[in-house]
Amino acid sequence: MELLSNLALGFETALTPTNILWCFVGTLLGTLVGVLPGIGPTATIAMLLPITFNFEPVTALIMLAGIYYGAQYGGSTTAILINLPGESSSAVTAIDGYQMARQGRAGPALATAALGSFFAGTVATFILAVAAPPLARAALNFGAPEYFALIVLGLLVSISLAHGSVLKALAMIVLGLLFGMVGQDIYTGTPRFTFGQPELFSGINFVSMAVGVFGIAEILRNLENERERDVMVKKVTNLWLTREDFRRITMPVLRGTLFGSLLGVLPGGGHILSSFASYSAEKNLSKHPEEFGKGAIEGVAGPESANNAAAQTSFIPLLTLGIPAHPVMALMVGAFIIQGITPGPNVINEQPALFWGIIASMWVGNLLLVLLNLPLIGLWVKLLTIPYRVLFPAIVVFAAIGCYSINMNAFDVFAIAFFGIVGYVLIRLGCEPAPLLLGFVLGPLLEEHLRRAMIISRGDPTIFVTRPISATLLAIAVLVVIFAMAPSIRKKRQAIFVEED
Amino acid sequence: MFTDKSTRDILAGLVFIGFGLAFAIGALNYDMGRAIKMGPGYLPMITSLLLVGLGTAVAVQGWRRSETIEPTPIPWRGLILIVAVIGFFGLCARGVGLGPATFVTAAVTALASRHNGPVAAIGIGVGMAVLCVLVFRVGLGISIPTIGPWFGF
Repeated sequence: MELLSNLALGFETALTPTNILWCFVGTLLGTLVGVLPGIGPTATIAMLLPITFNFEPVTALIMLAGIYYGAQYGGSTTAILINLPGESSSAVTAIDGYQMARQGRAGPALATAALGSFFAGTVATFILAVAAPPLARAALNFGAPEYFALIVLGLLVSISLAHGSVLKALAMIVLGLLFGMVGQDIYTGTPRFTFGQPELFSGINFVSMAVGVFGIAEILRNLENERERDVMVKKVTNLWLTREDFRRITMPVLRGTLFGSLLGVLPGGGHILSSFASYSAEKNLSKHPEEFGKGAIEGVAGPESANNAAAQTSFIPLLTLGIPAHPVMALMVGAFIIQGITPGPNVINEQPALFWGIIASMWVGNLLLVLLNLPLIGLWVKLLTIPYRVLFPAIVVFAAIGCYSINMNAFDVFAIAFFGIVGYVLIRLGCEPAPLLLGFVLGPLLEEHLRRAMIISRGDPTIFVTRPISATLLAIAVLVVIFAMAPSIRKKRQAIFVEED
Repeated sequence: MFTDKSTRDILAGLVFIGFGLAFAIGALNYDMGRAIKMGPGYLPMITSLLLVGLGTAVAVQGWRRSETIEPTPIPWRGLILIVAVIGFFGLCARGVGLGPATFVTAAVTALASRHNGPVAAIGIGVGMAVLCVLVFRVGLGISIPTIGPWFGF
């Protein structure tokens, strides 16, 4: 019954008044940024990271985690009410959720999303608690070559799930790696690419980079053509589900939870993939597939459960291996490091209260989200009417103050503008920003383990393929790239077929 | 707009090649070392050459691919205002203090939107200044003064 005592320790940590309070603040902020357009959890966590300096490590991480899964929740509210997914993972929810809202069933749609998410979150948190310790134990045997292979795998999987060109995503990762090399070399202390600026010796501030690429660049993108949003549903009534609704959503929620829990572990965007997978599964399994796209409640229940389950299990690679599965997790790595903790397999043994506290807080947070979202839905509907023209100056101001307050350093603020422009140009040219940030965060780890592995093997690169674990991981990485390339091959073939017709 | 080449891809490729070359030239200054004991320049050089290669591949792919895109205007006004105002904040936040710095940053940024007139901008600026002083100075005790030393008190 080790699990029970671990969970007891977790709840003991998570249920202190301070931690409940900050868990609440985190989920509240998360819901807020999920509902508001033009700002996502990545930029928010980046901006709030400096504020958490003074917190206890566990409190800081509980709050930041709350922002992340809270945003998944808030994103579905906008998807249902105004057909505008706040988060990419809610894109599928918008299909049927918005149709339900148009038929005056916004209440049941929101309730389905909330209850499905809560159930999925509960199950996925439990899976996390069961799966994490053995994985962490396995990871303790990892040496430098295994870590190198694992990071390569993480980076390459992230591109396979990114939509758009695989080549561009690869180039973005490599560019991120290069930005990550700025600063003093870990072995010799030689300053690299610093232009003699002492501010750059410790590397580019990754908060500045995240805020620039995900915050400022996004604002510029939105300013290209400004549209205000129409909120069609001004009032939401009748939140409760009928017995028939309950019957219809049970299986989709169960299946969605399964998809989400499994796919969430994948680096790069498992939550998006899982909601799509769940939607198509429900559509295929349904006796009335023609209802999908016209307000089928199953089309809300499945994907919503899936993306929330995935949001929880995407913490598994972070907590057990120290490898972030996507940009938000990369920021969580930063939060760990700021608190003086190296994320990885040791956390579970060295900081059991922290580890289990975070896991337990996720369940607490999910409960808070249900309480926060259903009764207060009127408030969120009002927030939807805040015009973007008021919102984006606030984002710029928060970004500037947040980055400045880390080191009281003007340089970090200029870096926001630099990465805002670089990010905007690249996004405009059809490149996705997430691989860039992932490469940037994982770059230094990759270099450290590669160089260490080469010292161990006396300069023989075959060490990566002769050690079984690293060889397996690298083989999976190669397969992933081949699979990622496959759709474009398929598309090309389709294009040829069309021409033949 | 239909083109027989993907301008976006070609430009993206060129951006990657540019960054790759810049980093490669920078990496020339550092000791390469050998595989067994890599110097500080070893990986940067390999990585930047890899980026040049990938950039070339992206550009070549774009050369062969036709695409249809809706051209959207570049928001020059927003770009210039936001970059300028972030620069201002970095340089002057400590000197003018949190309140005035926030006011200017928010007000000028607001002007980046065509929907905001001068009155709206001032309103947003005042609102954000009050909010940020309350949250960051009063609430979180940030060490930037509310009104900075440049105002003489």
